[in-house]
Amino acid sequence: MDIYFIQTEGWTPNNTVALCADIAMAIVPIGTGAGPAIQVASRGPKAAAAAYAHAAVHVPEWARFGQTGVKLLQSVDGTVGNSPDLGGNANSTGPGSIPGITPPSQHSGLKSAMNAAGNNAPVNMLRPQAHHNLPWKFRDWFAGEGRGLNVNDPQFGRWVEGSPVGRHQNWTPEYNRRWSDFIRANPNATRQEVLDYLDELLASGEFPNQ
Amino acid sequence: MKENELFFTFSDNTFYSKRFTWATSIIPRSAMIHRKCSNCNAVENYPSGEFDVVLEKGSEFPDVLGCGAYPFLILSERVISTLVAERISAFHTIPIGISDIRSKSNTLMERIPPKYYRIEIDGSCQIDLKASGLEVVRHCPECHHLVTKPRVPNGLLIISGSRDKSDIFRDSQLYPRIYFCNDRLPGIVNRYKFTNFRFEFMKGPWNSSSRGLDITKLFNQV
Repeated sequence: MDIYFIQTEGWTPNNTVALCADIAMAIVPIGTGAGPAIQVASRGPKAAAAAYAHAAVHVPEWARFGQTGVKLLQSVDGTVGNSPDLGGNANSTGPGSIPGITPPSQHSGLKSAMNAAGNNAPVNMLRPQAHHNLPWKFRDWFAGEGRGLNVNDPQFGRWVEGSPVGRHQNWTPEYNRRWSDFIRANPNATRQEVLDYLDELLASGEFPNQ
Repeated sequence: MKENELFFTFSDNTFYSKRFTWATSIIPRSAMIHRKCSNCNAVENYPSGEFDVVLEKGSEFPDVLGCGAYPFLILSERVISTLVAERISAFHTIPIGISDIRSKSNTLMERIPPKYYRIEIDGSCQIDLKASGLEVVRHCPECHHLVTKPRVPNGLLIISGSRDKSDIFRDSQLYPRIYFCNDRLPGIVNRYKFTNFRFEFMKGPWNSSSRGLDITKLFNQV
């Protein structure tokens, strides 16, 4: 994340110190999280949380390459994976598989996460509602091994116009039923297959924002 | 092909019957079946036998309990005993418990829940993918993980003569969690007014924007 801040804000003293601290802690056994600690200290907890949430969604390819380098260093002392995860802790994994995560417990968590990521309700909506593109009722299945998807991750949320102004409540039963049909036909679907189906549903235009 | 005319697919109908509670999580009480295919990386992960469920929302206990954690078929004891009495027996049952109910409805919380069972259907058939309008994109020869175009069938047809004459059946290789029946099950559901069943004609088209077939109307017409 510090690499992302450097890309967007430049080599400010704060960002430089945070990155150096992260690299140093990657070498020190069991040390981790120094970069975020410095960002929180300098920006304040609320602004740092919002900045990290925003950065998580907008990391460019070159910055991801840099992150891989940092993670490689962290993997030497086993601290990789200790950073907070929106979905909770990994349950189990094997070589090359996507671990399951602990499903979220608060339905309203999506709205909070979207706000934290800077994705606030559009001003042109009268009854904006945070919609789970991966339906809440299937949160345990989405979180399962092979998928590891958190339905409260802000990238899986969007603002829709609620009834009676909008049609959100009208199409929700069908939207959920489509997922139910998908899951019954594909109980072992992989993360990519889920994301492909999500793309298909959203591109269909049958479940509009307004 | 004519035999396909008589078949139905069935499941819960919770999204169109909001008053019924829903199993959101399962807590295993038996060894987990955990297989990761070395060929295609698909992961199978579910309890081999008994488990508990966490129920949420709703104001009534249904006869078919929808489950969001895994697409198990879960039926109430009164349905099971009726099916047995009606000599529908191509299934085996596994008792499940309720570990928690999270609902604001006093009506639900004050009632004694029915005993529920996980149903594993033993009746079998073989689906004809091509005749069902499905193009195979990937089919793993080891674990049988299947990806088709379209991804979700909109109706299925069986290979003629592949059904073992059971009243309820499934293709346990291609679609183990899609359940089929002949007209006896909807007839019984209609007669005993069992709740939260959803029926569609097996051959399709399956209409996700509706409540499914109106079986009362269907049987009155017959």
